[in-house]
Amino acid sequence: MLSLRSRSLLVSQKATLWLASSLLLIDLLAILFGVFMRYIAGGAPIWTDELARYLIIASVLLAMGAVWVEGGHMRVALIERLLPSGLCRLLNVYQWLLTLMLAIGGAVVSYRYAMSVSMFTSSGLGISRTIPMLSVPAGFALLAWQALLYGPAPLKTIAEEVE
Amino acid sequence: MTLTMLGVFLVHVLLGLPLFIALLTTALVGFLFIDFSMVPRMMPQQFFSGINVFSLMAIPLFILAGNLMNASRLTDRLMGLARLLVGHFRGGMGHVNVVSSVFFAGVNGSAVADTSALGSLLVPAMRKDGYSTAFAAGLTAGSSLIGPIIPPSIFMILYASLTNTSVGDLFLAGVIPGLILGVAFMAMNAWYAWRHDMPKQGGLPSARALGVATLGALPALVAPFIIVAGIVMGFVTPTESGALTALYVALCGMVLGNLKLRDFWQAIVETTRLTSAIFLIMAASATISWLLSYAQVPTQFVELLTPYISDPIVILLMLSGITFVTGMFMEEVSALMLLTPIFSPVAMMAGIDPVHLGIIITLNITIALITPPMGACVYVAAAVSRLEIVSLFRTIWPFVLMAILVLLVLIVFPSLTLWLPTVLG
Repeated sequence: MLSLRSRSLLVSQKATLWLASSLLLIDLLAILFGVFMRYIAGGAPIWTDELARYLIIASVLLAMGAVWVEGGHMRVALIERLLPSGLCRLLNVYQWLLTLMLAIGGAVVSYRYAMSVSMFTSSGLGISRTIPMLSVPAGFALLAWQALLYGPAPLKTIAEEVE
Repeated sequence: MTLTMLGVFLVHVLLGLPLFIALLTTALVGFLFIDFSMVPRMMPQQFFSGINVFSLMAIPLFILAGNLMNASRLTDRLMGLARLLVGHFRGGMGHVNVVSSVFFAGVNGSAVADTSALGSLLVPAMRKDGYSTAFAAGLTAGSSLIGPIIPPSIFMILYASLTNTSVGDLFLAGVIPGLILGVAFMAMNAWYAWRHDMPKQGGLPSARALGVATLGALPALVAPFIIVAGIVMGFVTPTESGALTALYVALCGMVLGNLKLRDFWQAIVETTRLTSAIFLIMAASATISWLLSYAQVPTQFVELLTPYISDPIVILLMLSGITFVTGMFMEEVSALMLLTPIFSPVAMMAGIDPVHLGIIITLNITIALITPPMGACVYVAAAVSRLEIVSLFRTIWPFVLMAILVLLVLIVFPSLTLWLPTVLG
């Protein structure tokens, strides 16, 4: 039986990955729509390029925490194999604390920055620049939340996934 | 400042932090040297603008095309064709490995994806044919270097976005070097087969079998031509080309009945995972790139190399040496993001064509994928071959040396890279 913490982690991980993947799919459709309009309808709308950029950025940032939990971010896991278990646990605590602090700091700082650019509008979509920028604090906040739920446990690696 | 930042970065990489976390920590330390009060403004701005580039959007789309190709089992058809073309030679399975990498490179620009997709199928097959596991895994990792050289290439798209070079020209310039790399690894395999007296596998395939296999693999074989022609002839941008390739591969998979909706969604999720990992490194690297240019590191680097600027070959050898060493200890995307803005002005002063520099840097960065201690392809090859990573790092050196030899040939003969873009570009 999964604990409430593990269940919350699993749900938030799956939900964010699903959302990020959906954004990637919409991005693909937006770019194809642009090409279709240019060659079939004679002129592409100017907002497709910008929308594609913002969608990918949002997708990348929303998936940040989920990919971290899965161990999908590139890293070198050599030293953990060589260290005795006590030191390794200490290292895991440092890895976790640093990630958590950067994630919380990143969320706060980028949220303030996103709010400070609200008077500017984007050239293609004509929306406030705050809207695409908010994906940065949202991504870091999700990373902080998922890191909190994950706790100072050993990080997974891509190689383990392949194995 | 630069040395401290390098030290902080290396320590955090060795401590096993995800690379984007290590890069962000390094950037924070860098701001301590300049002005820490700039962090709230410059960090989010650079982080965001580092990935807010339309041409970079091609990267996830080409990754998606590669994932869809695997899900559609088009990879199997390409391997089947490769088996018929070169499988009957002595050491046939090794040749099949290299030729499959060349075919696979035409749709997927990622060496790691190549190692993972082909290694899991070809290493056991090579072992069955009498190859040692270490050589089979080494050849798989080595031949995967062809992936980022033959178009499309993630590294080339990244280089183009950093230097305002034409992606189409870079893609064309990568074709001959990629094929040379393929021939070089096939020569290594032939030597191995001859030395171990490996038997020939079967006879020449019939014309009918070859025709059927070619027809079966045709959907995948024409993809690279669609990609390159579309970009070079100016019909589509690289990003649009990526989207069209993904659509094309998905349609082929559905028409052939191999791609179900669930497989399609799985390919999207896989792409999201990898894109997030790559783009976060790019975003964090952009912050460090800004710090380095703010501290005028590129200018200092140009001044350092000014005495040698009259000889392009010496400059390229020096830049290659630095890239090789950097690539050993740094993840490839971040190394490319950090070194390109520093190298570009030097190369320009030395009169080196930016397309030629792009191919040299791309190959250099790609070689880093198989060098210890951070060669991602070696880790994947070891995992799919169930081999100890240390023993594979010991046997990978001949493949690294062969790739370096190809690199040297390209440095000395720039026409090998520049001929195709000149004729077709």
